[in-house]
Amino acid sequence: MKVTYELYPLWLRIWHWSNVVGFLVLIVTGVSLHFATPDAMLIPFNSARVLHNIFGIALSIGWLIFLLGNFKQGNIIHYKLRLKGLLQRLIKQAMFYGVGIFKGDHHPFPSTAHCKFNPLQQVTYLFVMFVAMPGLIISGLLFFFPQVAPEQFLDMDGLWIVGVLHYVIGVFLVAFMIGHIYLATAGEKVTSEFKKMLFGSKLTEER
Amino acid sequence: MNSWPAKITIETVKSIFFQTLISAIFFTFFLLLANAGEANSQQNGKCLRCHGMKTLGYQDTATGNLRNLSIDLHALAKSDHAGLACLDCHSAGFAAYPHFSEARNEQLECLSCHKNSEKFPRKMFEAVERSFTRSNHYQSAPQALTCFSCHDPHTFSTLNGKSDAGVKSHVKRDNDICLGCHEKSKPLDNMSSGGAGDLLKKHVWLPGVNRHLQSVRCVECHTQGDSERSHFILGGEYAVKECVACHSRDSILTSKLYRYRAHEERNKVGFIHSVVMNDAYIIGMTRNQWLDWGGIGLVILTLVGVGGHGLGRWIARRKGQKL
Ligand code: HEC
Ligand code: HEC
Ligand code: HEC
Ligand code: HEC
Ligand code: HEC
Ligand code: HEC
Ligand code: HEC
Repeated sequence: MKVTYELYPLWLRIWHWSNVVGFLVLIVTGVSLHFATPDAMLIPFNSARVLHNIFGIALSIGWLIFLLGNFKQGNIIHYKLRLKGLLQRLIKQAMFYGVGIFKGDHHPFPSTAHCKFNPLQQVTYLFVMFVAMPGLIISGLLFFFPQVAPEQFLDMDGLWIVGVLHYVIGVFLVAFMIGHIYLATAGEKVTSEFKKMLFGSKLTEER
Repeated sequence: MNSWPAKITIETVKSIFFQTLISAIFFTFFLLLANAGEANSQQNGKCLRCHGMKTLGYQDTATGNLRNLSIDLHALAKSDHAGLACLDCHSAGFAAYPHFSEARNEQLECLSCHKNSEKFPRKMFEAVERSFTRSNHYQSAPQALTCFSCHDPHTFSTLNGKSDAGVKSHVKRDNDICLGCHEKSKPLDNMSSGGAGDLLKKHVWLPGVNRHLQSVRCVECHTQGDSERSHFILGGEYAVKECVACHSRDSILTSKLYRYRAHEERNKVGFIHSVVMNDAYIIGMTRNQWLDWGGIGLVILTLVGVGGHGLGRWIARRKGQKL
């Protein structure tokens, strides 16, 4: 029996692109807040604060929708990590990015209905979506409701650890985003992954 | 279990005896301590017999306000005037009771003792007075406010050299002075023109007003420069309104609220303004230079890596096409 499967259902695509907008605004405003100076600001401090709050909350709601959609729509299947032989598969994928890709080799792990991600993608996305994002959201919310944050932490003001954590995760996610956008050009053609995320990608498989 | 022992044994007698003994020792100790404090200035003890009572006061016939005459000995002992006896400041006419009526006309001012004094080489008090007399507080009603409106000579102490007491408590102490008149959500009605108005309404532009007012003093924004100038309070149009005055590396707070800490701790452990780490995380100000450079470095490295990889792919593709 042939089964047609949508790798990027509409709800996921809408979430993905709203996330893009949110991230870009949050990066620009976040930089304005952290590196605030009396002159030469990207965005004035107070406007940056308001925008950062609004888009931060929107991004958090988006993440909840992502979570809900994943479990309800079964997309979570792509995040199921098979530990057996993981290291070998990771090395294989890394070898592809490091060597094979320059020789025009084929992708070692093409998308399937069970797993659209390659092993490196899977591990990174798992970390980003289920560790980094919750950390970012929780520290952001604590900043938003500072009275809930611990008064003191290791003899220092409680918001200190919140602030540093928020900054570190934020920087890490900026680096991730750069890599993510770049690797999206490494599909069959430079633009093909972007097209998939815009218009969806149907996969027909024999079951 | 814990009821009175049915049988009085030697043990219980012993324990009761020792408990009594220990209590007695402590009691004598406390008496000695209390006496020591009094002996320190026996003279003060005489005055405090009456003025130490919390309730001592009378109703002023002219204004109808209650005049509180009680003096808090503990606050006095912690103040900058701790070393002084009552009669060092107050005239001898108070030594007897009933107090001589001419004594009651004594006019004490901070400056009457502190001006041109050999004891105070710093010109601090003259500078403070200059700022105060130029401020709106003095200009709008020259007699209404004096130094004593804000400072009680029996409790006053400067923050100098007391950096360990915690910034939040300094903030509270200094802001309570202002809030005594400018209550948070009550207009100033019985004071001159009452131009001050509703305090929270005046500061709505400040997000999390209450939290800001716990972390930062009114004088941070309402005056400029060092502590001597911190009495030069003008109308709201001259107050600091830019967030980046505080929320930036060159924050004004280093030369104001945190000036005592800034000397000792500046740039320890790589934190710019590590000085405030224990007291508050101030966006834009509390920054670790290693984390900052680390963050910028990581992003640049990623860009370079990605760029290099892309270039490699492009070259490889062109070579492939040529072959
Ligand atoms: C027996 C109780 C008593 C003793 C002792 C006493 N006082 Fe008084 N004091 C009063 C009372 C009551 C008043 C208010 C009525 C008045 O002024 O006589 C007062 C008023 C005063 C005032 C002026 C208040 C005003 O209206 O401005 C001062 C200053 C003062 N006392 C200082 C002292 C000093 C200094 C001593 C110690 C040397 C002292 N008193 C000892 C009871 C006492
Ligand atoms: C540094 C000097 C100084 C010392 C020491 C001092 N006083 Fe005063 N006291 C003042 C001044 C100045 C005023 C006037 C304050 C005002 O006009 O509001 C005053 C006012 C008072 C008043 C009137 C009520 C009030 O608080 O305004 C009383 C009562 C009083 N002092 C009692 C005492 C007693 C008792 C002692 C000793 C325990 C003492 N003072 C020590 C300077 C001093
Ligand atoms: C009657 C005289 C008198 C009055 C009034 C008076 N003081 Fe003093 N003050 C002194 C004396 C004397 C000392 C020195 C105390 C010592 O060395 O222990 C002193 C010490 C101080 C110090 C410590 C200075 C330093 O460099 O260590 C400060 C601050 C101070 N006073 C502030 C005030 C303020 C503010 C007022 C008004 C609210 C005031 N004083 C009113 C006599 C006075
Ligand atoms: C409107 C209230 C107010 C009035 C009136 C006032 N002060 Fe102050 N004063 C303050 C506050 C608030 C501070 C703390 C500011 C700081 O530390 O920068 C202070 C601080 C001081 C200091 C300590 C400065 C330091 O370096 O720690 C002195 C001394 C002083 N005042 C003296 C006076 C004298 C003298 C007068 C009368 C001419 C006066 N003040 C009138 C509110 C007032
Ligand atoms: C003893 C009461 C009193 C205290 C304490 C006091 N103020 Fe005032 N303040 C007034 C009065 C009265 C006015 C009104 C002057 C006017 O309306 O012209 C005023 C006016 C002001 C104004 C200017 C309002 C205008 O329209 O020009 C500011 C700002 C201000 N106060 C800030 C402060 C700060 C900051 C402190 C603490 C350091 C403080 N005040 C402490 C009584 C007080
Ligand atoms: C973050 C800076 C900041 C702090 C902290 C701050 N203020 Fe203000 N305040 C201002 C500014 C700016 C204005 C003028 C607002 C406007 O006109 O829109 C103002 C207005 C006022 C006014 C009205 C002045 C007028 O001209 O009408 C008063 C009174 C006042 N503040 C008192 C206080 C007191 C008391 C505190 C401390 C409890 C305090 N402020 C803390 C910045 C500050
Ligand atoms: C006088 C200095 C000062 C000014 C001016 C100031 N802030 Fe703050 N701000 C602080 C301090 C200090 C804290 C740290 C509060 C804490 O957590 O104890 C803070 C904290 C914050 C926070 C973190 C959340 C929180 O409540 O801890 C935000 C957001 C913020 N300020 C926004 C602003 C904006 C927007 C402006 C301008 C409209 C502004 N601040 C002006 C001193 C200032």
